[in-house]
Amino acid sequence: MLLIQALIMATLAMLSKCGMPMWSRWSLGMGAPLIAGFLNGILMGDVAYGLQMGASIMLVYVGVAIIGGAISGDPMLGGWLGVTASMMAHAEPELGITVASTLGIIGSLLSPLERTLNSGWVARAHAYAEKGDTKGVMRMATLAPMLVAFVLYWIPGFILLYLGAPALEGILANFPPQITKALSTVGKLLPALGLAMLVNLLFKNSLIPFIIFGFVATAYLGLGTMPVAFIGVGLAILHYIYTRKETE
Amino acid sequence: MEKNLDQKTLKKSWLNWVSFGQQCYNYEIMQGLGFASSMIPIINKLYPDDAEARKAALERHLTYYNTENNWGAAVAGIVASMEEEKANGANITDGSINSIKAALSGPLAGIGDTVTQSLVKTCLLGICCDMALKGNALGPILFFVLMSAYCLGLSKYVFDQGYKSGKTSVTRLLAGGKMTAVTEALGALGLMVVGSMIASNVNIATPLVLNLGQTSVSLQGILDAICPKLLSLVTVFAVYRLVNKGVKPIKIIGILFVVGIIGGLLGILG
Repeated sequence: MLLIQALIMATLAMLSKCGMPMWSRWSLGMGAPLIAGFLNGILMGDVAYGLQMGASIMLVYVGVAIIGGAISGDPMLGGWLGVTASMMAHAEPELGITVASTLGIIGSLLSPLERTLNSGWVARAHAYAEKGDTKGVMRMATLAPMLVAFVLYWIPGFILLYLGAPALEGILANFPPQITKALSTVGKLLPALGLAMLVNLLFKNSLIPFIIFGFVATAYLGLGTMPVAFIGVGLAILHYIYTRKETE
Repeated sequence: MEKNLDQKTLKKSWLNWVSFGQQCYNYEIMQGLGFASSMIPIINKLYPDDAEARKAALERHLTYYNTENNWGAAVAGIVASMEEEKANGANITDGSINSIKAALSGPLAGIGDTVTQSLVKTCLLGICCDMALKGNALGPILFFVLMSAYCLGLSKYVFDQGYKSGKTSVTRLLAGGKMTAVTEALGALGLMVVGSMIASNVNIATPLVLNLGQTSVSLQGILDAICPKLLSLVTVFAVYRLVNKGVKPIKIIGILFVVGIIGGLLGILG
């Protein structure tokens, strides 16, 4: 069972990291912790535990943003590997956040390496293009980068899960509480980056009121994302009506 | 004989984009190879026996390209229609195809990042995560299904629109003042959700306790009385300043890591 679980999760980690297929980056990639918790829960016969672990770790990554190729955190490795390893070690969700955040940081460090290595395929694609060989270019665009992803993500991921997760249980049990606390503080700080990147993307002086509305609605009034989004739709329509008149 | 792209070829082109667009992501030409992969079914269809024309077309598309995954499919549709016209002898240069790609990829990425990331993804995740936390297994399933439906459905729609109406429709859409107002309104909605998430998803607090003679007061209690989640708000805006100054995300992750470790060990943050 451990073998099958490690095989499936390492494969999903690799696929979502290299964006194969691209449309799944948004579901299996950005939502990796949530879905990984659920799938591992099914495999281990404890869906409730899986949902709890997955959703707790997911919260760290809800605000992750990828803008112009720069990513603010890595829910993929944190999800597929972090959630799986934590569940294999039967850890509490709080400890799981620490494990996932650490793996997520490693994941963000590996992405630049992947992109650098993939640059090598571009020269070979040009060589195929020179001969009018569309199949050759296609291989460089699809299969070649899989090789990089296999070496960078699948192999270490599989080893980590298959050999590391059983050891992790012992390590976590004897982990100094100060270190756990320090690492989970990092986990609490990390969501700030994704949200800051989104603010940077959307920011305009005339839109400052909307951040205030959203913040106050949740911080003081305790409203969830859904009602805030509904109020936001209403206010956005008003904003459109008034600004449209200005530009006409 | 006039060369025509049939529905099957166009579907393959779209499917290649949504599947392989990002696969060979690299620092040299970013999604260039992915874009080329979406043009390959079209190149094969238009120039089955002309190796020289295939070569020129492949080289034309092995260039820098970077846009948002879903909305960016519109560009592939537009370029498909331009390739078709070019193969039929229209006066379309490599330069005009490349300038269309360059001109549209930026604005579409702007709209796409706003809608896909700050609205659709964030809202869906927020809702589905909440369901899962309450023990509802529909949360992860719903997220996978709805998010995938959005990515596939939207990209197919804008690809087809791009092909059908060519470059005119999108350029007209982007040029008009209406789109600026729509994007800004979407930005307003996005910022509102982001504001809410600063309060719900960044949970920075301080365990510091002030000893005032006989009594001790929790600093977080004082802060909460003024403004709950104040530290989270301050952190996001401090990080925003760094992002705005152009500091690389990877560097910011490093800074947050150091601040978190030190703050956690000293018992200032928690």
